[in-house]
Amino acid sequence: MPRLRAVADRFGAPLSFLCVLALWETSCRLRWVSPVLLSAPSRIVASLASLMGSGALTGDLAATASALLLSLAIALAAGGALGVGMGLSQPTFRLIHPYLVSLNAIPKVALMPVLVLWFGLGLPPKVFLGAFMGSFPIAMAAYGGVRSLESDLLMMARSFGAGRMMILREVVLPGLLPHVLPALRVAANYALVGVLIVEFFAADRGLGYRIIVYSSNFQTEAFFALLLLVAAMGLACASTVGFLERRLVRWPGEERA
Amino acid sequence: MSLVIRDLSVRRGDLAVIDRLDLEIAPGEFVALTGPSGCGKSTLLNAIAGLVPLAGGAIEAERGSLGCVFQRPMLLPWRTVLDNAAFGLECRGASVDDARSRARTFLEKVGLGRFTGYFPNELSEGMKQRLTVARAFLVEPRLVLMDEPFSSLDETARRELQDLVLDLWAKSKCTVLFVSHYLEELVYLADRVIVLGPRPTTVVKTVPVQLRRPRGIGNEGMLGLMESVQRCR
Ligand SMILES: Nc1ncnc2c1ncn2[C@@H]1O[C@H](COP(=O)(O)OP(=O)(O)OP(=O)(O)O)[C@@H](O)[C@H]1O
Ligand SMILES: [Mg+2]
Repeated sequence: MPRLRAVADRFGAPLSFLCVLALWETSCRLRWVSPVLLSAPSRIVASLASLMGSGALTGDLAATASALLLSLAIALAAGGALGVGMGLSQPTFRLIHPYLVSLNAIPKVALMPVLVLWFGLGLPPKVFLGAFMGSFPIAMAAYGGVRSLESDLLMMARSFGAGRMMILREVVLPGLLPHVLPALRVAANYALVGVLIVEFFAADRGLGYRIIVYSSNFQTEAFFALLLLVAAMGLACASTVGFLERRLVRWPGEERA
Repeated sequence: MSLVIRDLSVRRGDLAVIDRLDLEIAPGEFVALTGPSGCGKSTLLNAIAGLVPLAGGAIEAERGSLGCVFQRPMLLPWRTVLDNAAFGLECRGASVDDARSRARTFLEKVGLGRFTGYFPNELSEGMKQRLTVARAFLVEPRLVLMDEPFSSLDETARRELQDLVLDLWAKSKCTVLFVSHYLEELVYLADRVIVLGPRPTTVVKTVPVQLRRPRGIGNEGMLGLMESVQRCR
């Protein structure tokens, strides 16, 4: 039945999603689960709408978003520089790579006490942890990108007398884009987790902070509304990077991740 | 002299690749270079291009720009045909607009005018090498180094590109140093064939090719010369 197959392919996923939503809604409405534990989807959306509408979340949203963007910018610069450095020089790689791997292996939550000690509260510790967590995937991708860059291309450029800036701008960076942009997607997720962790434990504003407040007050609907907001933030990052990829990496023969 | 190499030695790591090589090339001369595989032909070209350090001796090249064509096309996959052709000019400091407009005119002349908007991955191997030849000659080089540029092409494409190179060379009056394994190609193109010995390499023999152009494949003189190059390889 190829017809049925096509229909299932097209509508299967949205249909099953609707089913899950319906089941969830029903079980909450009929009180199969306690409203303290789980809120109905309709109530979550309504709660999110009213929270956003009242402006109650504006400050928190701004705090988290600015920390996230700042983290990502720093992760891109620092991770990119580390990765390119490691890729261009094997001694640098041997020097830096062990630190990167062992630092990345630390469970980040364990850093919380010392982060507060070093940076206090507010923006700095969030940006530190976000950038710290975001740098790793970017550094590794930039490293891989430089290594896979044909050294012949560098040679060709030098044979025409290209200077360092020309080589960096016209050969190295475009060659890195298809590697670094997919990593940026991952890095955005990591950085968001980093920012939220700090907001959970050591902040007086931000979506993470709000999540903790609502959940400890058993404001379940608002809590889930915030989860939805955070998920939307992650999605927004991913689709922004996807947009960049489509705009910047569009020569034929380059497989997109 | 356009290029004078005196007592040149080059090492790659622990390996002595070129050993006390002497070579003089006159301005406007077309010199072909051949020798056993792995003897150091590419290393010699790279040394002339300043891409590898010298272990001894000296290379003096006429002032002016250099055009290189390598065995593989070495095109930038994110640049179009037009922008790849313009790359050499940009490297030499031309503005992007200027480089592009000169590249466009030149691509027209070498038969790539219809493909300026294509990307390298959309071209045949022959077209790719045609583009790299254009890129090299666009910088108005005094010296062109070509390292087995057509060895991976089929017969027809190779013939066409050989004639293109001869044409561009004759018009620009530049000096060409052309590495090849193909006897026929060596004798078809060059004013002089230089045979290198096994590694560590040096010049073993020079065979002047005093045949009028255009040369034909069946030309008797060519066959004789091909034999004499073959004998000392
Ligand atoms: N970057 C490098 N590092 C170490 N050794 C090298 C390097 N490049 C070349 N060599 C060595 O130098 C020698 C000469 O290499 P080269 O590529 O110049 O030879 P070739 O004459 O061009 O050979 P072919 O005919 O196969 O192109 C080879 O033994 C090669 O292994
Ligand atoms: Mg070679």
